Amino acid sequence: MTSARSRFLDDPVATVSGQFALCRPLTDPELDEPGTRPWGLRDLVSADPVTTALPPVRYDHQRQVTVLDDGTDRLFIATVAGAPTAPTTQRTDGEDPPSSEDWKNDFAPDEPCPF
Amino acid sequence: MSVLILAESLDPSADRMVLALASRDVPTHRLDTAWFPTHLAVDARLRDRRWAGRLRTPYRDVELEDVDAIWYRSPATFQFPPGLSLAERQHAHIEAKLGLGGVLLALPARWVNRPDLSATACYKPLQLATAARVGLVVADTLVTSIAGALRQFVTDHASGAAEGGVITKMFASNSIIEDDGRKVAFTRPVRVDDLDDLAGIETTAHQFQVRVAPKAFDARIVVIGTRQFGFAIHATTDQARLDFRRDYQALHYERISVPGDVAAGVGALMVELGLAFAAIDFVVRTDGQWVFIGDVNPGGQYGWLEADTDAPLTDALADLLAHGPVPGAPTTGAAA
Repeated sequence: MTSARSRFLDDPVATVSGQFALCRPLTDPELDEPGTRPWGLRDLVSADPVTTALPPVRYDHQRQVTVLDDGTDRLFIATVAGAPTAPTTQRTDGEDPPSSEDWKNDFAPDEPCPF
Repeated sequence: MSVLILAESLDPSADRMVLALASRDVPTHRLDTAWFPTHLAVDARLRDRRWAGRLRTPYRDVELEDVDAIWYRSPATFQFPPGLSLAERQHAHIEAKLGLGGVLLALPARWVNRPDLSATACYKPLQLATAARVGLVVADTLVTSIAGALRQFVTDHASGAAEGGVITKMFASNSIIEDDGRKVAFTRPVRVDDLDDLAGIETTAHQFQVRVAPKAFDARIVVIGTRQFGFAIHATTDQARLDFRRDYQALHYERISVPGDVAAGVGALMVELGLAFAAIDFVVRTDGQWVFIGDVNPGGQYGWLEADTDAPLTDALADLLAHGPVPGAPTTGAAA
């Protein structure tokens, strides 16, 4: 049976309305045999690694903000005042990407993200 | 009343919003959908034609009936506990989206922005056609999967003295994750030698656009309710002049006025798309003409512009969330 739900999820044009939460699940599909790569994927460049390391931080659930995890509980934003939120940053803190990423460009509903 | 913020945990702009709302004595709850289901639970029951109940974390309860406004900033997707197979995980994801997402979407709250409208507004061809219809000047654009159509488009724009050739850029996110790392596709020119080998054009839809020239600077309009904040983005390198995301170190910013006709068009565009917030990009020519290039970002970043120019964007957004309403934008969970 083709239910309204499956049409909603599978419709190739209208399904963005169903993207809540929005980002695209990143799974590990088995690769097909290599074929013709989309032309638009030529000239890709690797995202730049971050040039300034973030300090250790944690989310304070009571205050609902990020604070420094150094025992002072100072507001994180007090230490990054003036820092842009748009540039690409990619923390290289020893974790395997993409879980260590801090990708801060304009939010796109189909942004690849860990799933 | 309360304001619900849906954002990632590490988000300086959301931090600033929490503080701005606190200074206004507005009860605020900040959640990330990534906490569901491990650290966030939903308990909602349909009563008196609306959803009542709560969202619960180990730290707070959010009473659904108290939520007057929702800032859909950029929450992350649901994170399920280990031990689920891929099929189970996909099932859980879909159920969470339609269940938790559905309850939230049905709340009669002011959305900034409603996620379904925000998602629909991300269609760049829709943006371009709507912008043209409301009177904005729009860059000539080609959407194609046919190599011959691209060659014709390039030919059509090869001789215009005021034109800078043809560029290509993505419709959606400009990055993919491949080979264990993120790769980015910035806006780039279509070179003559590109036309010799267009294999792969046929594999999907591609976007090509005339490069607006002579270019004075990029401009971003941050629209918050009925307020519009204009910014010039001046680039000092060729790469950044082509795509300012490529080299933020080569940029400097300036607050500018938005011309009346552009502001009117942008206001109409926001109404057409049902948005209360957006960051909208233009190219401004040396003759002063503002050209819309198909970049309405319903989840656009603004913090770096605020930090550099002291424009009161957080305050404007806090006022919108706290007081609304948003003229022209849908305010309820009912289908538009």
